[in-house]
Amino acid sequence: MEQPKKELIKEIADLFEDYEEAYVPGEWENFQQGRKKRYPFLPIWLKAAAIVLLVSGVVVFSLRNNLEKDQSLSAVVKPSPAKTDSNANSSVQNDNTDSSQGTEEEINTGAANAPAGIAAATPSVSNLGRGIQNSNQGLRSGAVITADAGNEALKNQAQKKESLNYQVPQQLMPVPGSQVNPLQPKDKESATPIVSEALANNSVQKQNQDTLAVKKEKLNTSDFLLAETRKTEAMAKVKPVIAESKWDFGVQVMPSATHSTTKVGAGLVTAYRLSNKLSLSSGISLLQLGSAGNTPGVSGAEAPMSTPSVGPANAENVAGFTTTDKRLLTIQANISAIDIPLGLVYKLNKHYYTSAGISYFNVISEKRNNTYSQLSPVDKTSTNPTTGAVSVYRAFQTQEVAEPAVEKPLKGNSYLGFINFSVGRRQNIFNQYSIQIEPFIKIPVGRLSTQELNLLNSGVKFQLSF
Amino acid sequence: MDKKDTMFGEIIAGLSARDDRIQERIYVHYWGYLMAIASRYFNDRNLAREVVNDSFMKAFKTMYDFKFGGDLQDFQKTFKSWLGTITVRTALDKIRANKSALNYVEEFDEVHTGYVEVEHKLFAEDILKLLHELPDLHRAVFNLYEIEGYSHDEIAGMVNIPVSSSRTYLTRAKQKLRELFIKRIGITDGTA
Repeated sequence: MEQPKKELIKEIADLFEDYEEAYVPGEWENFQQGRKKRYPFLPIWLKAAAIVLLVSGVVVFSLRNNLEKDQSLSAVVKPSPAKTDSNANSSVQNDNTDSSQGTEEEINTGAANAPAGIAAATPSVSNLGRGIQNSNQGLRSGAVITADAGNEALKNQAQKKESLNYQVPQQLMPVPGSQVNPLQPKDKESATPIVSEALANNSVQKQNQDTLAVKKEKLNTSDFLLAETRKTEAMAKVKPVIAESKWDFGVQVMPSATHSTTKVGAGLVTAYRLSNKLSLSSGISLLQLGSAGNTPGVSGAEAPMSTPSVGPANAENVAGFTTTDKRLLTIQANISAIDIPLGLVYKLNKHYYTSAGISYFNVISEKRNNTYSQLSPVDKTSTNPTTGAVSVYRAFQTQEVAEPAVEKPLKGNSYLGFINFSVGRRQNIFNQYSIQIEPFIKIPVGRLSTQELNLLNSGVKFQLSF
Repeated sequence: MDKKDTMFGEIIAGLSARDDRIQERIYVHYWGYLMAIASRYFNDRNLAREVVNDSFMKAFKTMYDFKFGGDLQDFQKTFKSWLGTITVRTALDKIRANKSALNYVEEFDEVHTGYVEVEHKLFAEDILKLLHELPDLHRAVFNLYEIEGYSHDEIAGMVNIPVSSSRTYLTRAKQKLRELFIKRIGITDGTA
């Protein structure tokens, strides 16, 4: 039967609408294998990603904190340009007043009217003129610079605005010897020369004039503000407050002593400031501990004691060793371990702090020497003084023998090992660097305290923080 | 209840119970359908197989949350359509990944071939060969519009091209297919 004719595209669409290929055996098995191969390291990858994320999160967090601190710092320092401008304003208001009063007001208005000062970045011509007057009356050099800057701004304005009302130079008239001519509103070109002339005639304003000569280059408003900010900062000698991160990092060296030996450890530390007084500290350090432990006569080999053959003189000596011939006297151990402390630091005052915490202690290397006391039979000779006969007799001599121990009960084990206490002093050496000297004591707890070794140790940490 | 219904019943039960063992049943049943879709986009069988496996991978992750009305017939249609959609999107992603952008269009002479009637039965293998002679973008638009049933707006969004371009590419794809088909018929008929 002949099928009805269809348009090609319609036919293709119909053909593929329900088109299916036949299943090829083995595809599922291949899919299963491919799926296993594809993500063999997924958990590790995920862990790595999590670590990267965590680290970058910490970094971003700390950077953000720094940024916020910087911003708050700049918010504190920013009033400086306002201070300059309000200097001009206050100098206008304090016309004919003494300079000390003017200075006080400068400080107050400078801090309080920062935004207004910035808004009034371009000083008005009238302010400028009065600023010049003030400086004429012997205000301190800060005011001179303010007027100077105002002159510069005036120059800018005079060039930009033809319609300025130049009433200001008339205020310069009282200046003795002034040849100031009243400015016509359209006399744009002559505005600056007139002001300069007025200044030139002012003997006190020579400094201003010099500065004007230097500052020939045209500054826009933002450059002007920036320059003034820098000048004012330099003049006021404002000590910038270093924005401190909440994170402290440091390297430390810590000689520590047990009751038998002294060893040195070193490590990295970090601390996160929870508040002004409290911070959480952690880190990682490689510790070496040398320890000795006295054992209460642990018996070694339980071999029967050999009876002294000759020599009554030795009988007493031998009497004490009737049951054993080898006793463990001391254990000497050298331990290398990774110590991960977690502590809470309380800042007592600017320099002193105290801390308490715990340590996770992982022994990575352990060397032990056991010292035994053992009786050894020795042959001795004695000469009878009367007869001169030489007699040989066997005696027992106590000897101390040190042997490296095979057993290493601590190695490879991790313990919640120590309780740490310390008191320290912090001394800033540079802006961001400080050294800390911190006597500490580490008291073994848990399984470490039950060891025959006495791991109680103390020492002094020397830390460079940044 | 026939055998097919039983199978779908098992699939539904497996999905409800979140039983991973149902994956094999689904894979075997739908592999041919997904492979047919992928083959329309890729001439290379291995690439098509990769797309199919990637699609199953995606589907297996989310299929346990597949919602359906409760009707078995409805489930058959919607589940199949859902798998098809995943495969189409995976195929487009694969094309994008293999090329920097899905924007290469081979220019060819405009020959207007308006209407071509099909007198004989078409075979999928033959048409697939014709399809794979089209530029990637033309073929993708043709598949999406004529076979998958997407609108030009949807295609524009999926392929990141203007709607007008989608229309143009479709027209060109159809013309090219007709030309190719006529050529092929001519060759087979011995008229050329």
